Amino acid sequence: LSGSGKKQNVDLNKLSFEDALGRLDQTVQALEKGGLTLSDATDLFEDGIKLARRCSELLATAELRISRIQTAYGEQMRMIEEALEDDDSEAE
Amino acid sequence: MLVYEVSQVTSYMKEVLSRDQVLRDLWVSGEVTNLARPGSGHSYFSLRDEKSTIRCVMFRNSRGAELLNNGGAVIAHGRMSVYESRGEVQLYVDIVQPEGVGELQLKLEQLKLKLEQEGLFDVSRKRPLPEFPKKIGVITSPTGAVWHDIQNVIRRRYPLVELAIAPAPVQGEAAAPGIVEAFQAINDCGDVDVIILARGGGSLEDLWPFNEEAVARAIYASRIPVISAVGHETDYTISDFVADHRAPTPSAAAELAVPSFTDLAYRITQAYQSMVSDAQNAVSTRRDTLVYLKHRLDRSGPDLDTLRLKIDDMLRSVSSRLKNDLAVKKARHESLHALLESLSPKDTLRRGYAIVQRSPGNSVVDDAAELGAGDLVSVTLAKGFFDASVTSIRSQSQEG
Repeated sequence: LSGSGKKQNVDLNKLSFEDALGRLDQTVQALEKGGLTLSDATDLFEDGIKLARRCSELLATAELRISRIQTAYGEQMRMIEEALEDDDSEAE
Repeated sequence: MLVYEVSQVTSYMKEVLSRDQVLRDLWVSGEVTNLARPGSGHSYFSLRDEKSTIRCVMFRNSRGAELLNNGGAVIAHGRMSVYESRGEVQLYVDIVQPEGVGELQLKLEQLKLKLEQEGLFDVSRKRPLPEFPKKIGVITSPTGAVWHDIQNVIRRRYPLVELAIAPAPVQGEAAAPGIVEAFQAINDCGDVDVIILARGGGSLEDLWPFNEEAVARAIYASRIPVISAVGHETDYTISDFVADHRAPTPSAAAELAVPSFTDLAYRITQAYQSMVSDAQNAVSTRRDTLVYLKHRLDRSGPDLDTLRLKIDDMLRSVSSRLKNDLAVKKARHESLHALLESLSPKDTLRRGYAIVQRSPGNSVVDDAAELGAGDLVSVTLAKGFFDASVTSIRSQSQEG
């Protein structure tokens, strides 16, 4: 970031939460440190607001993803479940 | 016939004992007597039953030394060996447990000591957890409440992750190999940031898989940091000691694995407010500077009133000088005029002389020879002029 808000080649709206939060922290620090030209400070401020919004959106809209890593036990369980379901459907 | 030296005998006894499968690794139960703890911090005591006594030594920092009391019943683990300078056979104790604990507990203590000595519990190898994990692997039973609790906590705290379960049995004979396989499967995934090994509460027997050496070695070998959460808060298993982090419960493990939603929301809000106030400060500071500079400019600019007075002064002095000049020049002009007057022929004319000028031409005629009869002349008198024509020329010599 190096105190200049000119790194516009990065699309702030595509950053991961971690990256966006990291950049947000850096932006806040740069603004707190001061010593920027008004135009650099304005650019940084605009980026910072976008980053804060990006972080909030990601937090608000994220949905936990659940997945399964295959293990022998997991396969056994799955086969038993399927067999039980078949039994159920046959019973109906 | 061979004759041995004493030290050869003690040395040989020591060697024989160390090779004996039973004597080099055994548990002995008995009553503690003659307990002594000199300044070295080691414990010297005897174990006895109705028939016999064994001398024992337990070195400083061994496990369970605090359980030793004269008259107390204990179970001690160690090896039989020879203290050569006295030729005494004694038990070198490394673990002491209270009398009455079960076999599993003794096994547990023994394995704990072994793994600790191997360095599996070393604090120096505990790895930090990632602050923002992207994928969390969970080794537990897919049917238990534990898996649901973990999902709920993570969904509430930090839903930005993928939660991947590697199903494993958490009880019984199949559990240890199943857990070992799950560790392998998660490590093979390549994109898991942290592993939670979890099981709900139960008896020592129920939790036993988490005290097995194979599980301990799988945790130790994991390239991904491991949080162990087995049983209730008061249960400690070997998994807890080997893992990078221990959580008192599976829900607590889930909390440990991810940052908290409210903390993050607070952090973002703080950042936002800090930026807004910095930006406002940046603008208002510059506005203050501008006002100040304008004020200074007003004060330090040219003083027009003084200049105006100065210009007036200058104008006044110029005009008085001009007036002076004019008076001087007028006086001079008058004196020149008087001089001119004095040189004028008018006085001469008044005395009766006349000026004759050729007409046309106006050249003054001062020699009659220049004229001829019939020439026209003009004659200036003291008062007035007249024109005349020459009738005759008389003589040149008359003049003078």
